[in-house]
Amino acid sequence: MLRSLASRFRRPASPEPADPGPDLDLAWPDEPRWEDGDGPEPVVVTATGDPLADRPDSHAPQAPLTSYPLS
Amino acid sequence: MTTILGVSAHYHDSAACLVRDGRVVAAVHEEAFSRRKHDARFPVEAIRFCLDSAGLTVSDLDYYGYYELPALKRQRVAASARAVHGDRADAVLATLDQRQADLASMLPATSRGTKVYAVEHHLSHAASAFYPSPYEEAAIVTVDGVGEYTTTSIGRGRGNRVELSRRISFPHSLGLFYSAFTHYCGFRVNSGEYKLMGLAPYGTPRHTGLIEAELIRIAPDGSFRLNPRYFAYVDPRAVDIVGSDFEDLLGQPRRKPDDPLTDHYADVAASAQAVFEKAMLAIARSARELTGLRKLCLAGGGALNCVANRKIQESGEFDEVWVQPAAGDAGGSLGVALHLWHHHLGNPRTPRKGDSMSGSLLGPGFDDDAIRLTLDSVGARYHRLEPDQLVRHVAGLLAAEKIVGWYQGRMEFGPRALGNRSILADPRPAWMQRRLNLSIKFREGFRPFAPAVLAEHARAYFDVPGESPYMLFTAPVAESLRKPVTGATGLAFDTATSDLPAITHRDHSARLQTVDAGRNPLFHRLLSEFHRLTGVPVLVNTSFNVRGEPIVCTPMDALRCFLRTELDHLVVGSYVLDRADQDDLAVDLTAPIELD
Repeated sequence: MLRSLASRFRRPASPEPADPGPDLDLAWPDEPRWEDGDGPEPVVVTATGDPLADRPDSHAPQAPLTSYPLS
Repeated sequence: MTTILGVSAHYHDSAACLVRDGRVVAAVHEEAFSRRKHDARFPVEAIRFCLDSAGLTVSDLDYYGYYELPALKRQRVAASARAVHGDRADAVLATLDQRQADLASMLPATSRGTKVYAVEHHLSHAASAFYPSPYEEAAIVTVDGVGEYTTTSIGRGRGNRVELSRRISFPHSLGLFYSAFTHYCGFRVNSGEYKLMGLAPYGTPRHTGLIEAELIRIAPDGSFRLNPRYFAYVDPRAVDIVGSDFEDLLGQPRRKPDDPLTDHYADVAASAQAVFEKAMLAIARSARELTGLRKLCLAGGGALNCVANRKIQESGEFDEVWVQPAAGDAGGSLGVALHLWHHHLGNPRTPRKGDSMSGSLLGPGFDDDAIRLTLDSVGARYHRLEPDQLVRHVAGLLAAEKIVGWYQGRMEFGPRALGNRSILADPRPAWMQRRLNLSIKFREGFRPFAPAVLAEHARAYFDVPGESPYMLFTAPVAESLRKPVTGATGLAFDTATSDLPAITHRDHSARLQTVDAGRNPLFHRLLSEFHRLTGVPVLVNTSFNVRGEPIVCTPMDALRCFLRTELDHLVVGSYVLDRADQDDLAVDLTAPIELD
């Protein structure tokens, strides 16, 4: 039996979940149904930082980016 | 002052958004700078724009907001791997790029010590739908491909709070259902969905019974379930979104991108659209019954389906519907930033008449000095006009059936050009749609163009119940303007369907933008002058780009697009360029554009 899908939403989503999480519900042709629940709590962490220059997906800028003040 | 930078990244349409004391002051897609359509990379340049333009550095930020929960998303990917690969799941996961899973370390080095606030993907969408809306209280529906687990949600916004209470989880996804048909019809996933929507009116929804029997079950309460057998995307390593079973079911192989469109694919598009609309209507009804509210906010990629939005609007379930203009993942950057400000920090919210999106004109802008520097640097020939002269001159060009690249003010946030990065044309000539598609945009001949109409005259030309400032609802062209579609069946594209054929689709619908002086005064003035000259308060408004290219961002982008196409005139700020006057401009046109 699949674990309750709703149950996953009752606990905060920690940055590194301790368990592997529920299995996907792949049953067919089961009746559709809504899952009720508040959803995962927001997460607040403190940035440890990562140099943009070291990021493999960083890319060269195209300057200038704007000439409008935004205030 | 509290300064928050919202970020969305690592799936598609990366973006950044700057919120200061609850006001959205800047927002932009990464693709605007990188010139890579739907760029999913970490939005380095979008962040730099947000900070530079406000005179800030990373160290000035009080918070980062991130639009989803990476660890929970990774958990779902692992569950997919287990479901498909069983004991080999760990080996499969080891082959996937999981760098984006580390929330604390994904931000720049100078952010060290800054708080990072992250919420569920669909909560970001919900927040982007409700907080900028004009409503004190509203039902919320979000629909997209997938976030962490959730693919569809229903919730409620009230005051400064947003809560989701019902959801559908992966792999049961309306967004991925629609993307599967997009792929089947030969268009690119997470890009070509609007092409499927545009193709649908040419077809007959003859496959809806088959689709509802075999592919998706939709309950009266709006919940739904997909048959995983047909959807290859359950496998995190899948390259294609559907497999051979899907093709066998529909009776023909998937269309390759360069294959001709046939009536079969139009019929499939019509069928998928009809089923999608049925599900969206049922979800909206469920949201109304659950909340008892008569106003609805929509976001998520599914909310970019303006035909479905219209069905909800005219269903009578809600008195008013507001759709976030950046309804796709880019808007998540805005949603999480506003959620942090209102929900997490507890700041009050005062809804504004219309909305709080500033017309979605939140991106980069360039003043006349910067524009002139660009024009002079390449040897462009131009003349400068004061605003009154400019409006009269450009309206005259348009009335003379010239096609104009119109580049003004700050760039739009979201996928639609709303009159600041637009190609404009007269909607009356029968040949205009074909010329725009084939000589200007280089795109498929079946695709319709959208009208921009003066808001105060919209009801004379379209059956429109309210404003549509962000081009997110279709509306039927007024009966008095229509022409019967006779003798045209299937994919006959060149059939005049109304007195404004360039903006009227086969089914007499139009993807409408109502233009008001509050949101975009210059564009409103231009439309007003065109109305004075021609008696028609409507212009074709299509995004300033060619097929496969992001909408132009800088004046140089606009020049490149002008030179690559057969645009007659380019208007950049106060400067007007005539194609006939230009000679050997020093503009690099070598960067290839991949057709999508």
